[in-house]
Amino acid sequence: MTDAGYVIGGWALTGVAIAGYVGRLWSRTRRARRLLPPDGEGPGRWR
Amino acid sequence: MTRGWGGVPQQNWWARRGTVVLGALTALSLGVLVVLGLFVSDPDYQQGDAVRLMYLHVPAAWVAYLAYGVTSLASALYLWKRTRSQAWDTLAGASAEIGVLFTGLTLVLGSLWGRPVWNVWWAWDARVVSTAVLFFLYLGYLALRRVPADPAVRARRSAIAALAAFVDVPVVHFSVEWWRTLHQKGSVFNRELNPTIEGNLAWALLSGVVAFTCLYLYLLERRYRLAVLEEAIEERALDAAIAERRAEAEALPV
Repeated sequence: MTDAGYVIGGWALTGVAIAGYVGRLWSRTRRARRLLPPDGEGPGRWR
Repeated sequence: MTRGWGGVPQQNWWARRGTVVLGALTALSLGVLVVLGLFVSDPDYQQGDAVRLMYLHVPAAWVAYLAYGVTSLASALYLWKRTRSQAWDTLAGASAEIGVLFTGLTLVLGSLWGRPVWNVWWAWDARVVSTAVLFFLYLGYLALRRVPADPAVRARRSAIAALAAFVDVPVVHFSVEWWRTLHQKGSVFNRELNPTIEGNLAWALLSGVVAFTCLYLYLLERRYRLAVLEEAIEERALDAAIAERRAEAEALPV
């Protein structure tokens, strides 16, 4: 494998790992929000 | 973040806008890193194009240190009675999870860099091994946090474990000074070496550190917020279960 192959592999892997973690946080947050009262029911709004 | 109606966590206006601004800054700085690291930076005269992996490897290691530092500080604040708060425990757990992610990235990126430059994927080198130990120590810490227990008990033992694991951080950092290693010594701030990094390589490295620091802060905010939401759900489930048992007890004939 050339240097470029290692570089592309490393950057791609980093991107996938970070995007995967962010996506997991987003989906878990959305699921948690669904289990709590919807917007407008309380005195403040959760966004 | 405050506890609002019915124990539901609420964010005020400033916190919400702060999250948006931090997210935008993170996206912008990551974009700058991609441009500088992949397109603007020249290849290194010794490492060639493999130097582009350093723009991720070094910032990832820095963020791992930072994350474990925050975990340790929050754990110490939890253990100190005057500042004890569940929020410190939550923050410690959130930061450690991000630290593990970035320690894993540090190891993998270092391995990918090592293959073309050192000609090996792995070396039984003090820096590399102590970093792997750090990864497994905090992985164990995260596992310990998942062991069911009373929240106060869990927080106390997690805080002690976090402080014990942090002992490895200076070992990782100074390993290149204490032992003869294949991994190079600290170079950027090394006065003895008086290093000079070519302009666009230095900017790419600096942009990596800035981008990953912003990313850490953004992820920490998101992870902390998620933990607060999940704690609220757990509390509600517990309250509902208690209410159900009480109703059952009241329904029983006297």
